[in-house]
Amino acid sequence: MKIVAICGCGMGSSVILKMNAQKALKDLGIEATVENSDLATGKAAAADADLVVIGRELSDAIDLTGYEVVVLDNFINKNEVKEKLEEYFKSKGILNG
Amino acid sequence: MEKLVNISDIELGVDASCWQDAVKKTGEILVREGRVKSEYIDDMIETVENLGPYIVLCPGLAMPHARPGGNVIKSGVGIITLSEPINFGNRTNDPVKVVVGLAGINDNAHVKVVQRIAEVFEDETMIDYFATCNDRRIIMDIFNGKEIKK
Repeated sequence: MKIVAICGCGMGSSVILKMNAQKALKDLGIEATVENSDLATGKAAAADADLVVIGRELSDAIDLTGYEVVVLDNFINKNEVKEKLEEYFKSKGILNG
Repeated sequence: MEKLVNISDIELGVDASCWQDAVKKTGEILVREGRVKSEYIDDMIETVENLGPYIVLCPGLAMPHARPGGNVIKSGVGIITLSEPINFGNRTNDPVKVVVGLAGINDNAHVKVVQRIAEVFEDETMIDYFATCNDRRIIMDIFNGKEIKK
């Protein structure tokens, strides 16, 4: 599975999102690669990704219709990242729930 | 752990009139410390104007930054605590009490400092600890990996 973390410049919050998503995936036992990307190239990067992880304020600035998206309020809180990813994977039947 | 932050990168109890002013104050540290050209301050403000207040990463913490490019000289941060909290317009994470302006050239130093920001503020009580702290050395030590004693 390939996951793309998107932020405005691809060098600030998406670095944190990538780090926390990697930890969460490890905890959840899901094999996936996580890349971070800026908004401009993020959509192209998302095209061949299975899932996009993005902050709430930024999700308004990009049309991600047709993509699988997990939206986060807090970039720093590892629990939120893990809970939202877990919820997503359960909804897709990838994790038992 | 290597030294990521110097004492001169930090200012406490800074007065700011609005979010743009708060971003400017962190930017002025980055300029003074030779990390960015003064144009980078406008780049950081424009990023928020164009993309929204997503740089408020968690309750109380803003991390303004702009793309690496001609206006960044070397990676680093400018850290301020605000005398009065300021709203950036973020729906879930306002008001902001701590602003960490980030300059990055997508090198190792930049990634390390971003990771350290995430580690430090994972403890949600750190925002108020920073906001009421009156010793820059303590803040510097926290960023440089000293064990946090509160």
